[in-house]
Amino acid sequence: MKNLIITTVGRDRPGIVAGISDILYQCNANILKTRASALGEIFVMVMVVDVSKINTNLKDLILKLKEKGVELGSGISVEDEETYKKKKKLVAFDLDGTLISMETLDELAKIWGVEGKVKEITKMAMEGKIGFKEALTKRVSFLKGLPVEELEKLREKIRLTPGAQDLIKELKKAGFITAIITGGFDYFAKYVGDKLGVDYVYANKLVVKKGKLTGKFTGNIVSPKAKLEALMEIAKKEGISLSECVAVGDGANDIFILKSSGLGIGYKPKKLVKRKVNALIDSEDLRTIMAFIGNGHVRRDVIKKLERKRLE
Amino acid sequence: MIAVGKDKPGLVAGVTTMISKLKGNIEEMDQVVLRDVFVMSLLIKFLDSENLREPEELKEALISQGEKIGLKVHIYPLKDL
Repeated sequence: MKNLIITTVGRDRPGIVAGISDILYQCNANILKTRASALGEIFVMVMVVDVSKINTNLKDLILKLKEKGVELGSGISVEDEETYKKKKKLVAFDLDGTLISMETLDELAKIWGVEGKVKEITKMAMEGKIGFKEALTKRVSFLKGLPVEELEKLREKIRLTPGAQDLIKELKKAGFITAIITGGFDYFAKYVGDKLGVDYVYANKLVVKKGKLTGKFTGNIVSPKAKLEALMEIAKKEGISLSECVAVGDGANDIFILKSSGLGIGYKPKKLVKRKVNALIDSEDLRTIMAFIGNGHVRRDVIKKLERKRLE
Repeated sequence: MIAVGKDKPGLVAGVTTMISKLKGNIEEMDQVVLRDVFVMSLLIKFLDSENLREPEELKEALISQGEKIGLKVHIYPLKDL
């Protein structure tokens, strides 16, 4: 028997339990346990579901649940029992679009008047017509000559995504290791990392000569695979396994890291990513993540119940 | 509210749909299946502002609709406990 664990978390509103349980009913999945609680304005629900007799394939069911979560304005995660119970120890974040609400490369291009050219390459990369590394190399080359002061000015304008600061604080308090792994640039990543107190920062570096960008970069975070390798390196250093890691990201570049971690969370992700992640946060703020992996009372209750069942 | 019955698919959906149709909001919920027995306990808030029904009417509606899907429903107003 294979059980799924479904977690929803979001602003309390009527119909959350009804909405999710109705989909499960339509697919002939049986709800074994539910624990739900309204904590002030936030409603958290965890369901243990037997999917051994479903009348559709599991992928479609999970897709429907994720869509419903978005519709209900709730973050939603769908995991199997084993990964749910596993204690998570590290959370790795993408930078642009995930921890900060800005695409720094696009903004630099805007400043330098090469926005159109850069966007065209970005689009080609997203459509798979050109490799990630080639795309990054090309886009950075358009920035040749940009004075470093412009980077400084842009850095002042960086805004963290809602809840990012509190989330990192809570994660650290709960003993999680934190990391930023980005295909963007250390000039911004280190700044954000220092500000938030993040433990590891992996990013590329823009090469500067005489106060100006040369249009070249160093570093090897240039592909989905490279991002995953960076995470593996951190995990190895910390002596933990990938299944104890959580990844949070939004772009095509994050797909490997999201798929290979214990839990991959898409934060306002691109369409392609939305289909592939186990957990999805589309509207609520980043703190939602705590309900998926933290030690809140609802999650604690469910894990206790799952352990009890095993002993019986 | 407590609902008990023989387990089958659709019970959580049935109960929670009827609650939301009656404009109730679930504050706390705990549900398990013990062997084949479905047991569900809920704290539900009915806001007067959204509800024209008397408490007795609500109680009867929940009990009779529960019966339709094979559940015995018991309602205890919090203030009476």
